[in-house]
Amino acid sequence: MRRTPSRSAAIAAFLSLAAACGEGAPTLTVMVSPAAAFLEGQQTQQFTATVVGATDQAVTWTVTEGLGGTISMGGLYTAPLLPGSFHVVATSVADGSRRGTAAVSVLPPPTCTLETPQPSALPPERVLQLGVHTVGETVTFTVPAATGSVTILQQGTEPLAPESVTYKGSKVANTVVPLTVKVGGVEFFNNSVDPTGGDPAYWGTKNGIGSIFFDSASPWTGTMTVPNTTHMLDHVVDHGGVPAGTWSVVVNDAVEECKAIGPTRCVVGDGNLTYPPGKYDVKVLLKLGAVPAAGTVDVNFYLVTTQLTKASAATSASVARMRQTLAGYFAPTGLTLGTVTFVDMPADVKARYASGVNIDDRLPCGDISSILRMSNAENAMSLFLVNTLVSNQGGTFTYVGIDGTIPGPSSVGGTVASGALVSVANLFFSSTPTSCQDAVNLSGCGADVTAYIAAHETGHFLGLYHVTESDGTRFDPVQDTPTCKLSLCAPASTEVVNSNCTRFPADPASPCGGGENLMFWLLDKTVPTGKLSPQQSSIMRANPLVR
Amino acid sequence: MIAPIALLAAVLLSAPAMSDAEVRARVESLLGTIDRAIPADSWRALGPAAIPVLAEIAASEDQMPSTRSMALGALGAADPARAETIARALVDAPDEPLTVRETAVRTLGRVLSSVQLRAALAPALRSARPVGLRSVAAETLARHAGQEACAEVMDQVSLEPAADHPRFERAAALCAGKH
Repeated sequence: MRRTPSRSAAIAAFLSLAAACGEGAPTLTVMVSPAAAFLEGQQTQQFTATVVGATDQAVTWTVTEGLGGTISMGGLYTAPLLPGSFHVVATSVADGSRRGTAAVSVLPPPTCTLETPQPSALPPERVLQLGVHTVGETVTFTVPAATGSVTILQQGTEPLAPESVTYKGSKVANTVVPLTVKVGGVEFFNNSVDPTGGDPAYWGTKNGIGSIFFDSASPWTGTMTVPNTTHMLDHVVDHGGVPAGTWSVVVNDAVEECKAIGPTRCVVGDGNLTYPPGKYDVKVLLKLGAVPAAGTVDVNFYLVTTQLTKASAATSASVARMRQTLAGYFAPTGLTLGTVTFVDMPADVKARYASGVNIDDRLPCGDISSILRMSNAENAMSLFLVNTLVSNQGGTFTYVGIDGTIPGPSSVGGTVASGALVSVANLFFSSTPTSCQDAVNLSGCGADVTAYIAAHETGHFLGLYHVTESDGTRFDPVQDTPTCKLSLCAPASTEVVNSNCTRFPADPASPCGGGENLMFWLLDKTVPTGKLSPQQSSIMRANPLVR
Repeated sequence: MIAPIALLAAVLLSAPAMSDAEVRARVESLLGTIDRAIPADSWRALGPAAIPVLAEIAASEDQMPSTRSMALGALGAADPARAETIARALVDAPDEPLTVRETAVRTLGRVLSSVQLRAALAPALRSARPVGLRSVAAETLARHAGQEACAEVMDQVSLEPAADHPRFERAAALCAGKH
């Protein structure tokens, strides 16, 4: 479990040497190796000392801090149980004024085991394996002409990397996202540059920055699928695919950006420790050929719920209705619901989550991630059906759906973001005996509502954002979906709702639409909803999940 | 900080009051949230006209169970006393959807003091059926009623069949201070 020191180690070594050099005549110095160590509680680390300028190599070992662990006469250090930053000191026996120091960071242990990296189920010719890279490194790869989509996938491999940062006082997940993406030297994405307000669909240029969009929380596993903006969709239409040639990506996470921002505005982890830099396995998934006009999505329903088994799901009228309605939401986009598989989860898993999945912890060891990690290594949409989704924050306890990240890591199962969760709280509800017998009925047929939620979360997984977020200030990067600005459409409220957003088609000058879109943030049974625009449909079909 | 508060107050004061019908429509819209939380302040901002609407929806058998659950949770934020009355009735209503009854238990955790909560949930912890309701009662007590309730919670866990112990993991973890 020893961690390899990198930049911070080099800095510590330099400081150690500099300190020694600053204490009088440079006739004798003590060097401690390694100069820095990252350990978990009660882990051991062997330190060695070299006394430069003396034949007597003997040193005495001490730990500066009172509760900073113990060290033997031979330099074997044992970390304390509790995390913190400590210093191991070697003092020369020949000259007691000469000391060398090593920095020790004792980190909280990971709260779960994350098996990583997970493989892609795509054929080998569509997967570029680019190896493990530390944040800040640039990775390059070649995209052939007529490639329909490119998916950049980073999976964490450093278990002691921090799970979160605190930015401007708010704790946010250590989101994994490239710092920059360049094609042929031209920058198409820069995560440190935000769109300058307004609708990101109109920001940037078709052949430069703004062509790729990212706005998601994505700890440990990060995915970026291109195209996901109008600019890039236009490029695909003009050139028969995404930009061909040499792509370069700077591996990055929120911690790396936090360090660059500085401690006055951003703090890594709990703020008291020096963490090792993130390391990520990088894969690139290619969808060869033009974006198809039609495609098929296979779906695996994982039965975490105690209300269904594989056998009962096969015969349930409510489940059949849900499948039928789900297929109906996909159909206008050119997508066909393909093979549908029901997977029974083990009894202990069903029991553990029977009384609700806690969605407040979005970090890699929380309920959501723990469930999503149970997905199989298949190129299918993984939808985990659960009894309820529960939050102990906010004004309501209940959610009906939640996704891993936007987009999801298509074709890669077993990651913390491999799918979405859908509540079956409404699945068997029917307000009247005939509510689920005819056309889609979002007022009275719970199976239809469950299908709607499944379609919405699948939309997220395939790369679609909410057309307008609840606060009416954030929008998707697609021009043919109307926006609904709070200041214009519901100035007296704190959220925009469907009925505020009923104008159509998209018109930047009349930005009060989108309430009928499947990807609006609310499902309003009084608004004819569930629509997807042509560009949203193209983004979905470009995803490698679609075959 | 004063300026934003003043600005918010000005906006709220200048906003035209919504009719009861508009409040009802807005409540019903917000209860359609999918994967975003509605802050407690948003429910309170709708004013007293929202209270009867939320209460009606929470108690209505004609509404989707998730909608009823959301309404009850919102009522807990907007009118704790009203929420308590409805939640107490739902906890003891075996024909109501389990998810709604579970939300009723959680709502009591939000609106009652720890002493009141221990008294209110003691029967559910010991004997509510199905077991899901007992596990939510255990979690709610562990989360809101402190270490005193944890002794009762852990006693109950020891009486539950081993196959059901995973249902009580969260309560046990809360009592152990791990959440």
